[in-house]
Amino acid sequence: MAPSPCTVRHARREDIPSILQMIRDLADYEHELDAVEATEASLDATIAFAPDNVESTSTAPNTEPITPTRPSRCLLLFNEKDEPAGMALYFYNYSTWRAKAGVYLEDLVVRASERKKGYGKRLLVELAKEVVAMNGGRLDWSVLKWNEPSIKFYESIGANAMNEWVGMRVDGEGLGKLASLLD
Amino acid sequence: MMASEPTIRLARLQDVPTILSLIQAAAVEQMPSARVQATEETLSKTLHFAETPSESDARAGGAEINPPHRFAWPLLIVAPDGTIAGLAIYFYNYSAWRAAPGVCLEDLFVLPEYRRKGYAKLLIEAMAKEAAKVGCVKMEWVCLTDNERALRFYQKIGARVMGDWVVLRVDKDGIDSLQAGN
Repeated sequence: MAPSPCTVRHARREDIPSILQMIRDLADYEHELDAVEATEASLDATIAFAPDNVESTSTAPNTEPITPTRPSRCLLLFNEKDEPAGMALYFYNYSTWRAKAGVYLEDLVVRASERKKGYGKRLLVELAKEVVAMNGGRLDWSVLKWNEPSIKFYESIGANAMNEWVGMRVDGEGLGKLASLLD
Repeated sequence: MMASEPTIRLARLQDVPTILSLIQAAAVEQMPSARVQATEETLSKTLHFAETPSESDARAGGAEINPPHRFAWPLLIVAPDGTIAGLAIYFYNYSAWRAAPGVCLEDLFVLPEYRRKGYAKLLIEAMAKEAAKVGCVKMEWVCLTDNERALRFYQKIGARVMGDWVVLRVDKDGIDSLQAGN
């Protein structure tokens, strides 16, 4: 099924309010709206945007440089009325065994009113194109185990659940403690 | 004269052969079925080294961080006898909800003959210090669910298990198929 007409390009600074709204939409869907601390200012500082009036796409990216403090990029999807309908917020991971980078999808959002138009798949296809264009090795992301509709959709497009792995995280106070453990 | 403590430093280009042999040793131990495809050449081109352009250089109009082609930082731990005894390779990730960077540990390995000296912990702490310097809000990595020794070690240093989440992956074949719109 081809997606409904849409265009996909990297976000520019003018898109920041839409990005913040969609981050909040996803957090709400995951019952974690309180956890969102992002603001327009902090998104401005940490996403590598395309310059105003520049068309930057997954296969011909033209954004600010990727750096440790600005590690992410954002692809936005606009529907047939040119309204923002979805986004993929992502960064670059690395496989030491392949000495190759890949894409890690941090947030995939399609607005509630824009579902069932093939937009989620279109965004994943764009990311796959970017991985190919950069000679990357893989496309990864995480999903909540209870999110069965999403898991089914992802498996239908060729994703495998890496069930033998579990994610580990240190954040908040734990991170400060760890950094100063040997001081 | 020998140092009495191990030291930790960012790798230099001349360390690449050692890095490759440590990566191969880690693969044999952690996932014997995996085939390491990295070569000295590809590692030299895709890792950040002490001599390669840094973020501040790029901002000063220096070299090529756009498009990105160096993606991860290799920290080495050098034993008092001068041997490179282990490494931690990490990259920067992102928390959308906090609109802030984090770090992700991709590889952690200490040579068997240098274990039980706290070297893994020292490497992780060095990584945490680097992470704190740029305002990272999280440090993450994946662990095999049946690696109880590692899980215990990680929980001791303050990590929590993200048990509600599963990692999904589209590998090379899947990507080729997906990007063709199938």
